[in-house]
Amino acid sequence: MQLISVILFLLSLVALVGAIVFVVSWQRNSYHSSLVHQLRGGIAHIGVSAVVEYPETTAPLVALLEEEYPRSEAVVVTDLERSRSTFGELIPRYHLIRVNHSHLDGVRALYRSRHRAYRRVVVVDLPTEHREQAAKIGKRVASYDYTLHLQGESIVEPDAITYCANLIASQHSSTAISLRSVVGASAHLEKGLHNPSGRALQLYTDHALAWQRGGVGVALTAILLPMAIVIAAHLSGSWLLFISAAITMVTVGLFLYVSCRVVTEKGIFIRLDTILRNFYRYLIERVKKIHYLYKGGEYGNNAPAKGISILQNRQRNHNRRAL
Amino acid sequence: MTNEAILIAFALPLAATVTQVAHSTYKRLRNYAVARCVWRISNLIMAEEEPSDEEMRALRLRFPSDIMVDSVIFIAEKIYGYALYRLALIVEVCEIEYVLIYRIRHSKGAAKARLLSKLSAMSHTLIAEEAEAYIGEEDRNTRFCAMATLVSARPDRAIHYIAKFDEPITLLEAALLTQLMRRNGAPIAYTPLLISQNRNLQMLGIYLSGHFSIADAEPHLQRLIEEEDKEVAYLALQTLCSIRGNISTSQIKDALQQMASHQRFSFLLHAVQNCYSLRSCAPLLTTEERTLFAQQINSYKCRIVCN
Repeated sequence: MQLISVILFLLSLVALVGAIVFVVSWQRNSYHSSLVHQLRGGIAHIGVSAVVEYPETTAPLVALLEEEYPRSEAVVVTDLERSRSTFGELIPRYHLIRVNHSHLDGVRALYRSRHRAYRRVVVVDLPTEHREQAAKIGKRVASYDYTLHLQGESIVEPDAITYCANLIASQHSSTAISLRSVVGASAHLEKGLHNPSGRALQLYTDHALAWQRGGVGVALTAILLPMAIVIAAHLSGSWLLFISAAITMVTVGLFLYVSCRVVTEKGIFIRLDTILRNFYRYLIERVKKIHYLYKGGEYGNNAPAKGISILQNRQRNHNRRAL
Repeated sequence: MTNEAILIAFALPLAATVTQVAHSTYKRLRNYAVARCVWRISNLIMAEEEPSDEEMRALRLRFPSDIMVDSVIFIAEKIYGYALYRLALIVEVCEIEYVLIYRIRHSKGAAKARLLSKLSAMSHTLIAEEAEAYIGEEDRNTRFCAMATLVSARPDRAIHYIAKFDEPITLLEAALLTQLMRRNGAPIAYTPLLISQNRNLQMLGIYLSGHFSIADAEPHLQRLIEEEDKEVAYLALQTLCSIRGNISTSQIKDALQQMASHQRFSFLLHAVQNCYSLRSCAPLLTTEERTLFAQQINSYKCRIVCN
């Protein structure tokens, strides 16, 4: 029991430190995007295509069509043979017609609307077996050079595309950017196919961009976890467990604070759930990074040789920059 | 001990629920207060006779400064002409700008920039003196916001301030400045901006030409494509494409050859979007790009997805 208490205590401590770093990075991003929020309307020079991969309902597409930004489009990649009942009705509703798709390998059909009002709708019929190609096909079909990738049932925020376009405009045009949300669901903005160097300025934003539909399991688990620890502490009488419970409470409290500050119409439990998912992803990335730094993987030019510590690697990078 | 443990255990779910209720209630009440304040200020602005000082001061007593600031910014974005003068009068009598100035003086870095941008929404000459103090700040955002505030406070000298700004402005900043200048009725003539040697003024001119689709700007944009500044040249080319100008010239071919491949591809997509034919673009493109261009057009994009 003593060992479990110590492990739980250490884990809660790591989670608290991670949460503080996460909240600080979110706060910093919210300051830097203050100018981007100010511009009403869009910028005529920049367009963004949103690519939704295999959604289960039409809700993500409807949300994208409600976006007011004129230079945007919604590309839905789906398997029409399997989801005919859900997406079959889109064809008459949006006046979709089959267009030439000979240059797209594996694609069964490509639909565009012949009605001007729905010119922003594109449906790609891609069999589920080629699922891994969905992102690439989406980029090839996209009319604009920046694509916002949305997974499954992610619903974009009403001003997400306008925000992305403004953020792209806030950088100098020679810089390709890649954007991820700190608080929102899995949405990723990136430069299109033709960025051969693959180098892009990685930015993080405090804007949610999109929200995932579905349960609030992670939020409930996080809220109930301290409760379980307190009960365990009470039964075992371990003070270390009580401290762990208190630290976990503070950690969840921090995320509650962030959830309250995010500007959206979504309920606080959905926000908390998504933010916690992002936090877990963030922690895993950190752990992977530390693991790679010690192991010495092939992680680009800055990869340290085997056995070189993080500090040595930092020193080497510093020297390289100085040169 | 058991009771305490249960109390602690239930504290977090309870806190989450209370936070949810408190947060939504606070938001609703605040929105309601802003709406009431906007309604009262609008009434004063729209009144036939000029509102008295007492009426305006009553506003200050009735609403907290935060609500007043948000309401004034909301209204300032939606009115012009004489109504703006009335709003400036209300701002002056209620001393709203002093609240912001006080906060600016006690804030740092990006927070200062954010407050300065709020100040720029208040078109009042008094704020210019305050903004001038921050034009030499270390933080770039703060410097830009101070410049934007000066543009807002003295629209007649807007071009001078933009030209004097020591950093190259981005497209977003050009858009923000245009928004401010239009709001305050500053004259915006695109030709002097496009023929100017100043990079920031050129950016402003390019943005205006693209935003309002000014076809007459074509000769100036053709000249800007030869500029040394790659960003200005690229944006001029994109704008030329947006206004459906002639893109088959040798200068454009030379400029495209010097661009990065991702920029060339962006241009290619932009040309498809603006209904250029393969024949008109063929001399500018490499064999690979020509194939891509043909594929894009063959997917009937040009017929269906045109602006």
